[in-house]
Order: sequence, then C-alpha cells, then structure tokens
Amino acid sequence: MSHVTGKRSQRISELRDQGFRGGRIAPHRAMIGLKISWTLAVDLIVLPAIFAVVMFMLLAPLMEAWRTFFDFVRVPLELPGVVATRIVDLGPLAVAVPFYTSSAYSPLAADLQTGWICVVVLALLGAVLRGRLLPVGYLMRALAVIQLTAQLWFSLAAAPFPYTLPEYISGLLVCGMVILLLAPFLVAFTFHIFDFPLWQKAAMVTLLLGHLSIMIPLQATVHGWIIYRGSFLAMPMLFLVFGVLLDVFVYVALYGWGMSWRSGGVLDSTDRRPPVLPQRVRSGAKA
Amino acid sequence: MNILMAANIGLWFCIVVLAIYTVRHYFFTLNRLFGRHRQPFVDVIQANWPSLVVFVPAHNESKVVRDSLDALLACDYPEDRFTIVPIDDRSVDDTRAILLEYAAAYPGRVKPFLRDGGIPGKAAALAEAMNEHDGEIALVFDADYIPGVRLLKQLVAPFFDPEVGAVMGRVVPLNVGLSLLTRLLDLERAGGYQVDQQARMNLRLVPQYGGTVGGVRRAALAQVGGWNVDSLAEDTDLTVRLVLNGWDVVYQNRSECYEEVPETWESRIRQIKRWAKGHNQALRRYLGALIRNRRGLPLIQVLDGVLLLGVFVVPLVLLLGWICTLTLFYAGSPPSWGRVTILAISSFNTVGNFAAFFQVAAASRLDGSRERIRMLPFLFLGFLVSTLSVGRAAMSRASWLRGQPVQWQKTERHRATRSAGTP
Repeated sequence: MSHVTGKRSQRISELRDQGFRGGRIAPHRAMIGLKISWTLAVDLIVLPAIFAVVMFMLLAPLMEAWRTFFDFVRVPLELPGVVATRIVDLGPLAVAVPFYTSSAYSPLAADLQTGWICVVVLALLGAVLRGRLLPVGYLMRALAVIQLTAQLWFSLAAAPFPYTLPEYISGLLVCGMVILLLAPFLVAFTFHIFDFPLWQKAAMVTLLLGHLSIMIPLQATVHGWIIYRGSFLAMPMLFLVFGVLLDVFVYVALYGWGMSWRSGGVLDSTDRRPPVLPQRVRSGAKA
Repeated sequence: MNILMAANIGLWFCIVVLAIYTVRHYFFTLNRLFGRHRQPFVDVIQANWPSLVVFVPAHNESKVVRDSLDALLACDYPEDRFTIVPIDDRSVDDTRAILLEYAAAYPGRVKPFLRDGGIPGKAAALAEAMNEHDGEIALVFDADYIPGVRLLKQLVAPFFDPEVGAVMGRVVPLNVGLSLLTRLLDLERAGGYQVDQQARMNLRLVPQYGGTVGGVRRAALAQVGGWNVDSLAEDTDLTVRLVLNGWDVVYQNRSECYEEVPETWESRIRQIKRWAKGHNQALRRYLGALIRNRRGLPLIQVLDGVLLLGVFVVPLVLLLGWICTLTLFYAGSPPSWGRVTILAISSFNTVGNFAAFFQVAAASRLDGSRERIRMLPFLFLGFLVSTLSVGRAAMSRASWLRGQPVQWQKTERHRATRSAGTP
C-alpha cells in the first residue's frame, strides 16, 4: 500500500488520469465503478425517511384533495352515490381515505355479448399483428385470455361475484396510499445508489410522489367509471393489468428517464454522448 | 386440498422464488457498482503464450463468416502458436467455398474442418474438430462475431492460472439501433454481462461460459468428459461440469466482442426457445449433482449454480404466479397488493438472466448508454414474448426427456442483405 496520502495522493490520482491537453482519460467501461462513502447512508436512509415522514404528514391534506377531486368529477361522470370515507389506521395516524359508493351490476346478456366481441377482436389482433408489431400482438393475446376468464366466470359460475365496486375502489386507493409511503424507499434503493447529486435524487422522489398523487385518484375514477358503466365484467382486467402493474410501469418509466440524466459524476465519464455545446459556442466555432 | 388453498400456496411459492431472484440481482448490482473487480491477467501483453486453436463453427454462414475470419487473422496472437479452424457443418450455401478460399490464401493458419455426416449440432461439430487439433487452449467464436485485435490474448491470459478451466468474454450487440427488439436485446445483454457475469466473477460464484467469445483448456475438457454431443446448450452443460469438477470459470468483462443480435421477433423466439430447452436439459442433468456437492464446493457457489440452472424456469414461475392471482381473485380471496406488486416488478425483467430493471439500468449507465435507459418500460413487452416462448419450450419433450435428437438451430443473419441494400 502506498505511503502517500491526503492531497498529494489525490493529486497523483488526478495526474494518472490526465490526458492530452489537460483532458481526462476515461476509464474503460468494464473498470468503472462507484465508491462507498458516508453520504450513501444519508441517501439510502435519511433522505427517503425524510420524504416518507413528509408524505405521512401530507396524507391528510392529500386525502382531502382526493375527496374534492372525486366530488368534482362524480357529477359530470354521472356516478351515483356519494364520496364516503374509509378510516385506515397507520400507527399514530388514522387516515380518512375517500372513495366512491357507486354500485355496479352483474353483466347482462348485452354486456356479455360486448365482452365476447372484445375477446374476439383482441384474439384476432393477436393473431394478425406480426413482424415488428408481434409483441403488441402477444399483449393482445394476453388481454384476450384475461377477458376470456371473465366471460367464462360470468357465463358459468353459480356463485355470486365476490366484490362490490366501493370495496374494490377503496382497496385500490388504500394500496395507492401505501405505495406513496413506500415509494421514497423504492427510489432510494434503486436510484440513490448512483452518483447523482442530491438535488436530482430529491427531484426523482418528488416527481414520483407528485405523479402518483395525481395518477392514483384518476386511476380509481377511471376504474370506477368503467366498472359502473360496463358491469363487473371489466373488473378482472382492470385489477390485473391496469392496477398495480400500471403503477409499476409508471415507476419504471420515470426511473428510466431519471437514470438517463447526466449526473456530473463518475458514471458520466463513459458517456457516449458528449454534452452539447451552447448555441453561441457552436456558431462561433463555425464562423 | 381445495383450489383456493392450492392457489394460495402456489402464489406464496412463486413470490418466494421471485423474491430470491430479485434480492440476488440487487446484490449483484450493488457488487458491480461498489465491489472490487476481478479481471485476471487481462493486461498481459508479453508472455510465453500457449498453443491456441480458434474454432469457428459455421452452418450456412456465408453472409458473415468472411468478416469473422478477417478479424481473427488480424489478431495479435503469435502466428506460430495460433491456428484458425472454421468448421463447416453441412452448409448448403457458399460457406464451404469461402472457407476453402481462406485456407488457400492463408496456408497453415486457416485449416477448415469439413463435415458431411455425423451427429448434427454445434457440440458434435466441436467435438469432432477438436479431435483433429491439439492446441492447449481452444477458443470458440460463432461465425457472426467480430473479435478485436487484442481479444485472443485477453481471453487466453486467464489460463496462466492452472485452476482455470474456461474463460468467457463479453458479448456486445453490433446492430443495436435497428428496432425495438435490437434495443431491448442490447439492454438485456448489458444487464447480463456488465453486471450479472462480472458480479458472479467478483464474488467467485459461477460465471457462465457462453459457448462463444470464450474457450476451454483442453486438459479440463478431457477431464470432464469432453463435449456432450446430445446437449442443446453445450455452453451451460460444460460450465456446470467444469464447476462440479472443481475448475474455475473466468469472465473477462474487458474482453468485448461484437455480435449480431436477432433482428426479427420470430428469430428471437426461436433463439429463446432453444436456450430454454438447453438450459432446462442442463437443469435436469445436473441439479442433483450440484445439490449432492460431492466435491465440497462452497455453499454459495452451489446455490448460485442452482439459481443459474433455474433461470429459464423463473418466467414459468412468474406465469404461474399470475395464474394463481387470477384464481384467488375469482375465488373472492384476492392476494394482498404487496404480493401483486412483487409479481408486477418481476414482469419488468429480462429473460435469460432474469436481470431486473434496475440491474439493466445500472449496466447501461456503466456502459455510457444513458439515453437507452429510457427504453426500460418496454422490457415488459420483450419479457411477455419471451415468457410465452419459454413456456412453449418447456412443453417440448426436448426440455426434459433424454435422447432427443439434436439439430442445428441457428439465428438468422442479416448483415450481408443489409449491406447490400445500403447505398
């Protein structure tokens, strides 16, 4: 081990990587990595804990905002009933989660016929979409199978459908609320481990929480409206494909965007796209 | 046991399996980001290099084999210790003529091995060709691979350690920007090599010899019984046998070689089905031996070996998880949202290594491919196609039964047609 430490060691390290005309020699992508430092503990524990506590404290006004939104859209969407409240105990805090009380009906013959048409259309699309659209075709086939199970259940099952619409909607919203509380930790363990500056890490959590806070009541409203209009026949598809799976899709998309940000740190050194020069510099160079 | 209980137990089983793989890949990601990288002897330039034979198995590869041979001939490995043996296995296109042309142009350096009969398949072709040549080290390159000038030395250098039985380099896609598929495959390869393989190398687990851009020590191959000619995935098969016999497998992340990934979904489906069948065959053959662990391998290595062999079963586990969820939903006992969340997160993985979305993102970031990470949510589509293909492969008899006929199932090449069409 070298006996050189401190600033001199740092200087030697800088000189090692110094290239032509003072530039920096980028390490090979196979050798690049990050260093563990005490700030990682802050990023992984303190930062998400702060965001989770803030989110926890904001839950009551957020639920109030959701209630206002539900009241606002219920009338134009012609959803009957009222916006009720479900009390959820979260340790020291009891949260009043609002939800629609609109009831849905079991599918009638016309609904079942429409459902069968949907299954056939999805299956046909699944069979027809080839070439570059093959994955979309596979998605159509998967949707056709899920809808087929719903068709068979409501055509053949003797037992009554075991859910009510308010129960489903309130479950979706409670799940959304729990996701909101856990999201800062999910971001911490997947995004904060990289060498992004603190403001980018905070921005990522804020963006996700902001996005979910708006999306979750919209998602519940859309689900509620579709099930109210289209009967329970639509519930299995919405539950499986457009519930948590959609929430995770949103997270992965936001995460993918965030991971494409320049960090200004070590991981930028292998960047294949050099920063774009400001317009004035480019035009000056041309001249 | 009623159906409700069965679905519940089934779902818990799936959740546990998926959680194990997710934790494994999170740990791999952390190791790759913060760990110390093992890249043995990769910088050795001057040495008493062992005799080397580079095998290039080819079955109807006339579109690409010239590029591969030219690149190999340009390598800086000492000419007097290095022979190129392209293997023509019953091609019906111009492959044989091209190989003979190179043999005439480079006498002594290019020695084609021509097959007109025998058991079909890459493993059988390699087994026969190796009997005719006696280099200490045998490297294998598929006919569409373009090695760099220093690659051969980098791949041979780890064999200076006498405990090393096989070496694997990194595969990098050449045709990335052509379609959604090629971009998704680039993400998958990055996750698999840049993070997964390197982490397993760092942690002394089981890096996988991948059948190309890599090689094997002749003595080690002989000790484990040579190539399994009836194997559908001779690379996985050999990796496990080497590990079971106490040999080390080395992964060299810096030794990069370029390949052509499938450009059509149909071609990709064929590839993934072939891999799944071969992997499941290896699982059936070696799971028991790994668990019995008669050589006293470290427990962590055994565990990684088992998880490696099971990697093509995991998409089926996920599929089962969704079926159980649907069953429980209709039974009026929907699974908790937490369990559904684990299923949902696992649906954004890749097939072949089960790299989770964060692992793929880490790999692309390390590669400097920042903007490609925005494709991440589309992994879902790739995973859906692959999962259903793996499911179909699992139904085939070849996955699980003995004595199934082996044949060449090669990936369609596009290079020549593309360059012909390019102005």
